[in-house]
Amino acid sequence: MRMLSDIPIAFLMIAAVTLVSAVCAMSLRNLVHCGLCLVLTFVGLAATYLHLSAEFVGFAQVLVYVGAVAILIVFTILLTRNAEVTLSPVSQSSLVGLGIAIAVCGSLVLPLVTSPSLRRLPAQSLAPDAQVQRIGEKLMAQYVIPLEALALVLTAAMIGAVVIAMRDDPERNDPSPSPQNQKDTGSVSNSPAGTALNSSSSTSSSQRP
Amino acid sequence: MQSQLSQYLPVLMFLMVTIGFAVGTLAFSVIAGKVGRRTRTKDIPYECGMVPEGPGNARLSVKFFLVALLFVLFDIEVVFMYPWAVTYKELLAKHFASVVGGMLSFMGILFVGYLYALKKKAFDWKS
Repeated sequence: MRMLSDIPIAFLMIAAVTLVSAVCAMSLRNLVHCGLCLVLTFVGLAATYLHLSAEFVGFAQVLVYVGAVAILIVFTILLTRNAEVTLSPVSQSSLVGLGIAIAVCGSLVLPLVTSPSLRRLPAQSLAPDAQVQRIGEKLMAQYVIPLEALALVLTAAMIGAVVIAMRDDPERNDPSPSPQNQKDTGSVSNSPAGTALNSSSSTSSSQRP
Repeated sequence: MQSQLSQYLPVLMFLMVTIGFAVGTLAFSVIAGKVGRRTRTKDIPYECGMVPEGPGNARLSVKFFLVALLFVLFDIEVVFMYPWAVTYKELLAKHFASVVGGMLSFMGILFVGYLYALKKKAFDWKS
């Protein structure tokens, strides 16, 4: 059995990279390093999907998480950098955190393990080159309504993003800087309020690059 | 399954070459450069000119965040179009209505969101 001797090594390497980078993402001091470690975790997960012959899921993971979500995380770190606070531990004991982590993990794993659909799955993997086609067939024949619902969700998300990030629409058309913005921007930014885009987050002022 | 993963061996080699190039360049500059000759003046961002003042991390426009959010959304849309595009030709004869109509309505619903963002000048960087 060549497979039995070969697969665990590849899987162990991927698992080690994923787990170590996940621990680093939680424990490192520098937020940027944490973000980069999280990206490495996403890459490890993508490699795991590829290892399981889930080609499409693996590449979707790379496209969405490694490509887009990583950029979102980096921008979030960039935007909130000035609001650095001295972190105080929420709970005094790490045992409490461990207990909560086990509870969350258990509540996720238990339904998965006890699910009857797990036993219905074929033991061997599907033909790998046919997978994307199969997903496409199912998406177009059986899951058309969920696809449309998904379009609605994505549209709602887009509208929500625009509404949240561009909240001060009337202010933006006002050429004179409002006192609120002047107070906020202070000496950091000399751009007029017309260009300053405030959000509900801590970045109340902006400086155009 | 093993051959499935081993077909990505070129990708792994490519990654190793790029990482090796980055690390090698940095290591070479440390080895070949004059590491010991550092002064306070040499370490400031501009060796000649104004002495920098104020915090180094300037505040950034929240527009960056909006662009990243919209990028994530469009990325997910593309992920769902990809399996459709792969099977488009084969399924066209069998289920014409759902293949064409399903994707058209999918994109039509998303187009509403796109129009909203366009109307709100979310893509307009200067406003």
